[in-house]
Amino acid sequence: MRRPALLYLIAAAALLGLTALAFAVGRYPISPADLWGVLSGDAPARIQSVVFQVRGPRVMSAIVVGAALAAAGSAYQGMFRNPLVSPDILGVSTGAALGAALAIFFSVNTFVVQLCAFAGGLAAVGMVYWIGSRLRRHDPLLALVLTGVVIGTLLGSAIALLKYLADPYNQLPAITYWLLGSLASVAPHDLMAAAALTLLGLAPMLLLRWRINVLALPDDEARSLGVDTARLRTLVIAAATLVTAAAVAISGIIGWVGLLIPHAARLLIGPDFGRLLPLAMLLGAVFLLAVDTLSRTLSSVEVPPGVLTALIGTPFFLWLFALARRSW
Amino acid sequence: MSTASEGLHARLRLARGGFTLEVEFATAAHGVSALFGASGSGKTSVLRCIAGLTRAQEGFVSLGDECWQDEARGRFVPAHLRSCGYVFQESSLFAHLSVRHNLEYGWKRVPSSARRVVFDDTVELLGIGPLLARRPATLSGGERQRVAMARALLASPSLLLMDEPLASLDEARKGEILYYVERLRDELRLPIVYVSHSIDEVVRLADAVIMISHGRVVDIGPVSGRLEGGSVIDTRVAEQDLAWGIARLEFSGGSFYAPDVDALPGERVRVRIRARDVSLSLAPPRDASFLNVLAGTVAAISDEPGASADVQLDVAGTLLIARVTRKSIAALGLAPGRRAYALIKSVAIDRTSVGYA
Repeated sequence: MRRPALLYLIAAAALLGLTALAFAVGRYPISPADLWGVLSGDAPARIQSVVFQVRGPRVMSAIVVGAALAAAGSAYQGMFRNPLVSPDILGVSTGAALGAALAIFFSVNTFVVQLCAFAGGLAAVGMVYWIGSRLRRHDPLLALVLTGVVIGTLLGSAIALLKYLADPYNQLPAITYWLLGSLASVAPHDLMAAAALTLLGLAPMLLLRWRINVLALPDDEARSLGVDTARLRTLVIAAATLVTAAAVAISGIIGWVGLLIPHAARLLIGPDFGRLLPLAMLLGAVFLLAVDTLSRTLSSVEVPPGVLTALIGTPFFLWLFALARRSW
Repeated sequence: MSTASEGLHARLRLARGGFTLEVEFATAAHGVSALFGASGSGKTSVLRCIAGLTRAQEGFVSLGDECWQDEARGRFVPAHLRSCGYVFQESSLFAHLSVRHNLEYGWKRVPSSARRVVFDDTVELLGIGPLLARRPATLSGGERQRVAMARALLASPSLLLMDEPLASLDEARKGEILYYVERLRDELRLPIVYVSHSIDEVVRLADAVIMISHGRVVDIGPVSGRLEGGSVIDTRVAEQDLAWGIARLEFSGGSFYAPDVDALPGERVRVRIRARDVSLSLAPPRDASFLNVLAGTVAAISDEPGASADVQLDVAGTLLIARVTRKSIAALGLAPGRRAYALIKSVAIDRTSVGYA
């Protein structure tokens, strides 16, 4: 076992340094001295407003969304005993995307779009879970995953239909933009809501970390060791879905974080969920903050962070995959 | 031995595809009951129903005065609430945790007031003390199964279910594990249901046997004299002849020699002698290699179609079964009441046939 304390320390230091960097760089650069001035409260008003009104929500939402997606991915990968599983496996992102696309299609305001995205994510997973748990003749996990894939495809078709029907000058770009994911327009109160929901979902994961490990055993063995696997799975799915839906609602779909980061964290610290979760959250925050900072500084036109995560994620993932698969 | 009502009582009916399981049996309050039968006879299904991993469509399962399933009253206690330990054919351990931490998974779950076993005692009982700091990947198959047994026991079960725990092991490892299962049987006051299709294992371990065939109980009762194809004799080691590597085992009808018996003089061992390893003779042989010649009286001769038959020889109250051809029976004129000598090659009594009684 590697030394977890050291890993946490390095990841936390990286996050801190990166946060400072993210505040400093951008269209309006802020010097380290000014940044320090903001902290001590005697910076010019203009700089204060850049830090608190413009960059603050964005930086903080990158941290929250990155940590949330990584936490949900860790829980799902442990539960499904599969390192290739992402938080989207039960359709939360597709459901959220459909919710958002519907809201945009009916031209409602941003808050309702977010609300619809959140509700769509929960509803999609709820439907997948309801159908999957009724297919009793099959292995429960397999039934869930297959139902998730099928329902995801169906919801994807519904999104395609909405895009086809949408007003091509106004609604279609908005839908496409949402689907690509962005942290550019997150307002402080959206962020607070997402952070609160994320914490709400994280609490059961942290409390049940010891039992979530038992889910990695074959179902029969876990049950004979006295763990109510069916109820535990339901709880984990609910918690991970809440966390993911809250994140996706404010950021749109940013892929790869929930797949890649838990996997990388597991390579670093091992599969024990209690240790894995904090590290994955730190790394998720670091990763998304780095990607988002790149996406707004790379060129004069913002590169969607979902595109960047894919560009970075694909080769990294293939490299991880080529490495020996660690035992669970 | 206690009455059956203190042990496990199971009545199960489970129809699945073309297979119907319909069994009823009760076990003693402690000791090993073997569920014995061929592959596909439904042994594992019975075990899963007892554990609650499979729900029998009609069924009643109780342990002592605790009722785990009574479909007539709609009662079904889910698996995780039944206090029964389950040892699987191949048990999974957490690869990233040491043996000690793996064991603590079952242990920590039980509130200390409800614990019926002591951690260190269980570890000692299964001889895994030296393994505690190791990772599962470094364990042999036999060691893994011992850890799995300890994990099951540390959850303080009132019933231990073992599903062919030796199935994935080679012969040498099997002997090692059997020794520990014997210790569990002798030191724990709880019923153990042990699934096996190996006569040798059943004979060594079991007090009672429940024979299952095609989903039905075909026979149930004490092991002795029940398993076809051989006889089971409780003996005591009279002496160990280290020069020749053989032991003299005493029983009520005399004594015989067996090689490589891993027991000290005075210890009780149970020996299974396969019927086909026993020859019969009307007079003690001379100048022959048989070390074991036991005089007895023919008690019965089985009446079955085919060229051979089982002859039961009463050796001072102990029944010895010899499988011989009908041609020999006719040539010797064997019939109930006739005096005869059983001839047993010592090498036919091998290690796997001998166990602690």
